[in-house]
Amino acid sequence: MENQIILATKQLTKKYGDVRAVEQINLNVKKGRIYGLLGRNGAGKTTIMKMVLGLISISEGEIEIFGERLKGNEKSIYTRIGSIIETPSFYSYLTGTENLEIFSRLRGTIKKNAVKSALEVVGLPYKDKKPFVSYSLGMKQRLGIANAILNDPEILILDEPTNGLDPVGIVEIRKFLQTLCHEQGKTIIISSHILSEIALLADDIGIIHDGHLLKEFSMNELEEKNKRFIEIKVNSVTKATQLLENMMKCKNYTVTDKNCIEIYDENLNTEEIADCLVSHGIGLSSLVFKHETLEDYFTSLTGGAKFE
Amino acid sequence: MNNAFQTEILKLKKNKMAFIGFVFTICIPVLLVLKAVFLDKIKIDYHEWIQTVFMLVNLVLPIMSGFFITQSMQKEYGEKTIINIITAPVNRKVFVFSKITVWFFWYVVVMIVTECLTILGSLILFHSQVTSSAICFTIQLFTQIGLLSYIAFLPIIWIAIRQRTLFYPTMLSVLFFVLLQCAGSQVSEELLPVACFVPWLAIQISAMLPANSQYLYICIASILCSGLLGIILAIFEFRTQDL
Repeated sequence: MENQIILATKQLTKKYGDVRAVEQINLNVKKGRIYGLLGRNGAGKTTIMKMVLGLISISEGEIEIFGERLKGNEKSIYTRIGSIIETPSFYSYLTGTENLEIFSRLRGTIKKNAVKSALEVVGLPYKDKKPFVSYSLGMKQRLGIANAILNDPEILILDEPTNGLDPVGIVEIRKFLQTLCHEQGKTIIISSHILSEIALLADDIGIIHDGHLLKEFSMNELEEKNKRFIEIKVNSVTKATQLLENMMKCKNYTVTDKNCIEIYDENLNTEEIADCLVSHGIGLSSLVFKHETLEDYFTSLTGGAKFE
Repeated sequence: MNNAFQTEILKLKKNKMAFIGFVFTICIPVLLVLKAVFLDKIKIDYHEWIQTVFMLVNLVLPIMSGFFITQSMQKEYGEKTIINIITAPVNRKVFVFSKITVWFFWYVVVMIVTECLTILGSLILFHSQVTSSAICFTIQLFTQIGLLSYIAFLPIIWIAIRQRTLFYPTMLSVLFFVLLQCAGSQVSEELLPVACFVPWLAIQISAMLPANSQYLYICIASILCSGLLGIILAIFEFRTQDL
């Protein structure tokens, strides 16, 4: 069950005229896990989600959900999916309860008291008199989540659900999504441009950049891959690398800057390195143990400046 | 379809535009009764009064109806509730039909209440002149013009879907159609063969033609074509639209 793919896209492409907003995306979302779509604003995260939800047409490629092709099975598939796309959208002149009653009726096949329990889950009052227009941003997001879980879906697709929430609200939503996933077995696809958010929440991550899926990996893989390393800053990278290779027999390193080297060799210790470099007349300005984070990995993949 | 229609009714309950349109339209016969009772110094006759009501209702009802459907569609796009509807999921064709149905429902309710108030008003003002055949004629005329006007105005929903959050293009189209509908009563006999083919002119023309006139059939055919085209275009537009 762990590795069962519940949602897969194959060569998914969206074109607007000659512009390719999303190109040949192959996503693989595993059942019962939280999949984080990570990318900058305008990378194509929402476009992918909208294509999955049938809100925009697919230019090329196809989508499989629950092992079935989406095309032709929309009705049976979409009743098993809950979503928030962009900002939570409701009728401004109706109350939260009235709004959910409308959408529950549209779904048709939901349980009795579904509205009440969905509101309870997200901590919003049932049958209150406050219209949606008077809700705070946090309340709007909560109502959006209540609407998404209204029909007890197997997959939740959430586009930046913590946008506009205060820190306490973000923690609450994070815990709630983790509970939904790890205790109730829901599969969650969440998009965000906030790296820390995805790092804390997701089990698997897909990095989207300029409409392309650069990498898909699990957080466990990232942790294993990005072992601790020693970062040294020296006045001569050329001499230092020669010494590392010839004197210390170290080949597992990367020059990351004109005076910076990252050493991945676990057998070397800091004292040994410092002694060797200094004794050969190389100026050593810094020597620290480091651990590559998701941010570093994202930056190295996208080749851009540091992320938020 | 049933669920989609029921939710449209739920939305209608708190829709201010629906209420304003309703009140504005039904106020016409009420105000004309009050005017005849309190303001008119010279007593007008029944036919003159009913013609005034008829003319004003045929002007105001299509405008209010246009406002109603435009606001109804524009709000779905503006508040982005359309995203929640489509992901519920609701079939796009069903959504368009539910809008058309609730629009028709509102239109018929307003039309019937206005008809009732007009007949009541005519009975209050011209009790001796109003015969049962006159009442039947009034109902028939109101209903015929009302329904044909609704059908001819169906392309408005296509324009509203196409324009998404924009209000003015649809409203200008409504006003243009209403203008044509009003001009229909002024069409000369020479222009009749051409005017019959214009659905919005044909609404009023159809009310003036005898039942056996070939032009009446052309009028009805052109109005039905307008309605059918409006529905087809609206469905096609919405089905291919990226949200």
